[in-house]
Amino acid sequence: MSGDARGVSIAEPFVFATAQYESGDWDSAPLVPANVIDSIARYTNLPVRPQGVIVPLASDAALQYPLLYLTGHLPVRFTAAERQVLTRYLDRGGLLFVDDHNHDVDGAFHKTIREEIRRVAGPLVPLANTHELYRCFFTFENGPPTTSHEMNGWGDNLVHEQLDAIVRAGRIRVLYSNKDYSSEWSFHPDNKRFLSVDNTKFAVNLVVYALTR
Amino acid sequence: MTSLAWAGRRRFELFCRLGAIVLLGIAALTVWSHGRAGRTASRSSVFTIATPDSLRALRDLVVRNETRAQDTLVMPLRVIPSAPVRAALGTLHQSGIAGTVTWQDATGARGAALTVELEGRPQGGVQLRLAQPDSTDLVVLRDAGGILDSIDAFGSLHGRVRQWQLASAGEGLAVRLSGAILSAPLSRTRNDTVHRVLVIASPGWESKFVMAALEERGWRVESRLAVTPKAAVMVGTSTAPDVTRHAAVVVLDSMNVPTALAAYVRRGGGVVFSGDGVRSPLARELMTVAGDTRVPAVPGALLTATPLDGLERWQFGARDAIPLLRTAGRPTVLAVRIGTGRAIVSGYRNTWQWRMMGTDQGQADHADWWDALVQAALPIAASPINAADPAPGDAAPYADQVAQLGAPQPEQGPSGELQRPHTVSASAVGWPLSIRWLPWLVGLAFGALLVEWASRRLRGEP
Repeated sequence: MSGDARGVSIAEPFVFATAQYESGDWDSAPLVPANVIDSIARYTNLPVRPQGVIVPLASDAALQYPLLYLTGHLPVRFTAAERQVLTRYLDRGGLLFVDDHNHDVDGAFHKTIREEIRRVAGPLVPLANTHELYRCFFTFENGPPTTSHEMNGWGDNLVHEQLDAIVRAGRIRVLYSNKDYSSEWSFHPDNKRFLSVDNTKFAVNLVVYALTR
Repeated sequence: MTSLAWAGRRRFELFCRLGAIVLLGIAALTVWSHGRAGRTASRSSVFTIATPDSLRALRDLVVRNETRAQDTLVMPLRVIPSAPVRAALGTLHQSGIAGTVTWQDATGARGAALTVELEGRPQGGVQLRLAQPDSTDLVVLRDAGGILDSIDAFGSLHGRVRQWQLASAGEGLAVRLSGAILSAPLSRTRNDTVHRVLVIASPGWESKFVMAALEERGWRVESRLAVTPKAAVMVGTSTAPDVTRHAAVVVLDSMNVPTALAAYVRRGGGVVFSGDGVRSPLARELMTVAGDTRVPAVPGALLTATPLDGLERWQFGARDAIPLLRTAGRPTVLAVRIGTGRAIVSGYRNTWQWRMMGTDQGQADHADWWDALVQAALPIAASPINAADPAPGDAAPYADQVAQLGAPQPEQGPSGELQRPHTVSASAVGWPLSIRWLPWLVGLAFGALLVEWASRRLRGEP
């Protein structure tokens, strides 16, 4: 943050942070951060840092980033340190966005990460499609936007109508998706010009929600 | 002329001569008694004032010029005089006409004061403060529903203020202390019902966690967080400062501060400028303070007992504001009254780091910090005394008496260091003639002598 001589200041830039955990493949969607950052800059006036960061979940450094993105294909088993940090992170008001890169409710990532989340923060429950998350910037009348992977019948061959979440004090602490946004948003930002509808708009809602609620 | 007539003439002359001698003797006694009275008063005098009518006696004492500038008038007061008498005594004390006017406290007053205020925080509650100079008695706090608390009074905590915070209390809140019952009316303010806080900020971690902290402490937060020039996230329904709706306004951003905020404060609203909000032109205009220099955070301090050191902060010069918190000798939180409202300036930036990156207590401390800042901005009545005050000092006569004449003199015992003063009552009978009669006495004496001399010379005698 910096201030100038006129007393006008510029807010701290938003930093997109990806959680790095010991087990599994935390870096399975390396293009997502750049794409989300591009969308934030493209659609909003929010100050955003051009590069994302990768932060170890077992490190207190994770507490510097109140929005964390976590994805993967493989089974997840948090270490004791990761559980400890994640517990503190969620208790203090951080928001963890978890996306199942397998798009498979019978997949290893889905089964293991939900169990880990349950152990740390409690059970996930369906989030109503009328939640303000779907209206805080762009409006998604039908809840979370459907991904091409759902439509193509990959993974579990299901179109998931809702996201799951853990809500405390009226605020989402954990947001869980089986819709495979990690694949949907995993392309170079320049290729958005080939899309009739930008499929990363929901990411903007996620960041705006995290910054305002 | 017959011998009989001459004899009568001689007796008349003798009478004049003797009369002149008597008059001169009386004059001498008057002078002597006046000097004696002056010497007595110069030691020390006790003058008893029990009723307002005694003021007349005191006036007579002064008018008779029986006191001098070096005298000390000590008055044991059984009751606190009325406002006019206190004012007169104060004037007398200040003028020095009657010497030093002091008093001894024989009123039996406890010298205690009780204030009762409703808390401004959303959870409500009542705060009581009892000031008592000296007591080792039991203090019993009660309301119409019965006893609420009982504790030992101050004991060794001489002159301290005892404070209670109650979640609730009914009517008739009172303190019983040594048989005396002190009660004070609740000072109700608009904040009894207004628990909304308007947050003026840009979207970011600071605004997010400040709103969360305030909501955790029961405040209802409203805000408009602009994401683009045309789109904003609305929290609550109102975004314009309104004294009838918002208990306080929190400004976290130096930009986009509405001009209506100045009028809001002057009409009785409370505003908190925090972080970069202190750099807003409005903060500079309202409080004549602005963040002058930025002090970097101390690495790792968020995890210590002084977590505020772990926050970057703007540093101020004190100027006309009241420092509420100093760090390294420089004010970091300031307060100032503006019109009927209040403004608080806190230089700490990114306080959300205290919550996220501090100790396990950091979250609660962060919420308490923001709750305290907002409460400090609430324009609660400064004085809870609701009594009518037709004359100056009537709301607190004892304090007014002390203000007029100073603290009461200690009672003088046999072993005391001070000598017991000589007692001169206002109604005491002494030499009946004042020194003012001296010219008349001398004049009459010389007149008598003149008549005697003239009579003798007219008779042809030398």
